[in-house]
Amino acid sequence: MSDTKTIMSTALAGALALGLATASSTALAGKPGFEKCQGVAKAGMNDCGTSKHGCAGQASVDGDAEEWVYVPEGTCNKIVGGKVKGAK
Amino acid sequence: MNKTQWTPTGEVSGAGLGLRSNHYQHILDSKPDVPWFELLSDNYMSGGGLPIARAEAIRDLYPVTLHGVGMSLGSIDPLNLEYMKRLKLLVDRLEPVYVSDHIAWVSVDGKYTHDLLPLPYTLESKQVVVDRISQAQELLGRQILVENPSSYLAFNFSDMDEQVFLTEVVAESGCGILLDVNNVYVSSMNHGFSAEAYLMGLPKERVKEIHLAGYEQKGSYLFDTHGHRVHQPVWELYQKTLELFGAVPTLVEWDTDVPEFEVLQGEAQKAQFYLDKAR
Amino acid sequence: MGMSLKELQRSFYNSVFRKNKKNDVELNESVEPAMDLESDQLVNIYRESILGGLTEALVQIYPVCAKLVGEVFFSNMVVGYMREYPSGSPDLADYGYDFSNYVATFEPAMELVYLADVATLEWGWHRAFNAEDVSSSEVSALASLTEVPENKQGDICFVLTPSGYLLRSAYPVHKIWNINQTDFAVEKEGDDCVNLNEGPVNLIVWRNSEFGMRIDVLSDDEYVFLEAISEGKSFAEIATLSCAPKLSELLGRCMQTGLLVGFNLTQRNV
Repeated sequence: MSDTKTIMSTALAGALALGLATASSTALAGKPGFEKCQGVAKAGMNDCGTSKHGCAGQASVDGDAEEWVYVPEGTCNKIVGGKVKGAK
Repeated sequence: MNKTQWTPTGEVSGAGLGLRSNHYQHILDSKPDVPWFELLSDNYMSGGGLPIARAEAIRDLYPVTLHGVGMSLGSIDPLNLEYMKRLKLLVDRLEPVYVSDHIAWVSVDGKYTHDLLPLPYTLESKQVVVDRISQAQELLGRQILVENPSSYLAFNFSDMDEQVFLTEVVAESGCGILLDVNNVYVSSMNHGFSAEAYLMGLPKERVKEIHLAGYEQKGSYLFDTHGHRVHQPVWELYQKTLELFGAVPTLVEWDTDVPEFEVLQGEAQKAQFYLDKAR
Repeated sequence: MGMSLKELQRSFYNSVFRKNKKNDVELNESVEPAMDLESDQLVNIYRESILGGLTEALVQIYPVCAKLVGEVFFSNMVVGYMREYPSGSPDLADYGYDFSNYVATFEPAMELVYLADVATLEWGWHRAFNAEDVSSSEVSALASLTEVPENKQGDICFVLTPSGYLLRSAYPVHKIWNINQTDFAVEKEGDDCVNLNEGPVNLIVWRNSEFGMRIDVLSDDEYVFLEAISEGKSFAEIATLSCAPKLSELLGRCMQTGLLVGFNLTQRNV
């Protein structure tokens, strides 16, 4: 128990000696992270607005689609390696 | 609450624009000459982050109104109190001149479609809508405006026309009307009624705001996409609207394939031209 | 006498999401054919509008997933999701939180073992973007940590920034995310490929005080530490975890970066 107490008081003293939030984007593990500055804003979820109708026609409404649509055709061909789970 | 206390906070006049997120920065940088902006309340419900910060910055420069799709005023479900609480916080923060939603239902049994769905115009529906509006106004402590929707189907057991329904809802709940002239036109063409007769059936003193937008012809019907300039027949109907109701504050909406800000501004200037003539 | 409003709204909803074909009959009988269209075609206008709107919302929240599998695959994948997982909130920004669960069980995507984790990462991004702001008074209160008496230190509960979203993946999903950003630039050949054998990562998605959105890679100690904080564990509990030897450094850096934004004292009897 006293061990824990020592750990805590030492940690607090050490941590506060570093000072409080200054650099808001310091990397943590020393490995590079990714940052998007505020200029890169997401569109509002409701920008489609009060006319949701504007979004129509993009869905595959019936869902009983042909098999070919289930062949991924995006950028996933750039992802390599890894064990394929449930491979036939 | 005494309904006479429900006076709007501040005033909007002239032809404003619907605020969309790709224009935030342009507006803040160049402070364009626009009399007011309408914000989509549903974009700011989380209460934090960049969107609300930008909205507040714009609110500091222009009068704003709040317009939403989440109240689901025509649903058999009770009003969502959590949503109303968040909306109230937003209203307190942005101090909009008007707060509006639609004559439609969005959810049933707590499941949301996030779309404006058509009501049968019956006594039962009317009671549901009147109750929800009254409660919403109590919770927000102010009058709300309700907008007529575009519709693509009508129920054969409706007891009354839409303008009669709307007029009675307004009379019984004390709310105001956000008259979407494009929606009147779209629905009149789709269902084959007279748009002018519709307008003449509405109570003049309750029409507080007008919306304009562009529709799209889809095969045999008109579809309200808000993705075009306002069409000529809608401009004509708008002029008739102004003759009937006076120079009511007007908002141009553009939601799909939103163009450069200047294009929107051009549409607002055109509306302003007609508003000036109507004064 | 037509349907009651309750019956009508339920059948309409079920018809849109194709829950029960039997309902459609009564609904269609209540809809006036118009505009050269039959009743069911009129209802279908709304069906397309609703499903199109929800698809659009999911594309906005999950752009990387959509890009990885392509538009056709994605829009077909989400149809099943939309039917099985109704939206329970009037706020469209709440929709889609359980999408990664659906992706994980979606048979045609099984070979894309990392896809569900990419979805989790994108959900974290979406939540962090919209999260509540940090209250600056709370942050400055961190300075008063020095005033907590030693016998109360165990009761301290640190507060993670409200935007902080932690996740672990067996795959380098942050890199998959990065190469699929619209502004990603290839500097040398192979930059735009990710090898899954790089192994597992610990990540935090969060928003800093200037609205900058970040994805940071965490060491195991950092992850254990921040996870304990996000679970509301007290300082005394955290001091017994595997990250204990690094506690001073962890605490200092997390306060400096702005990941920790305050503290409370729990009413615990030590």
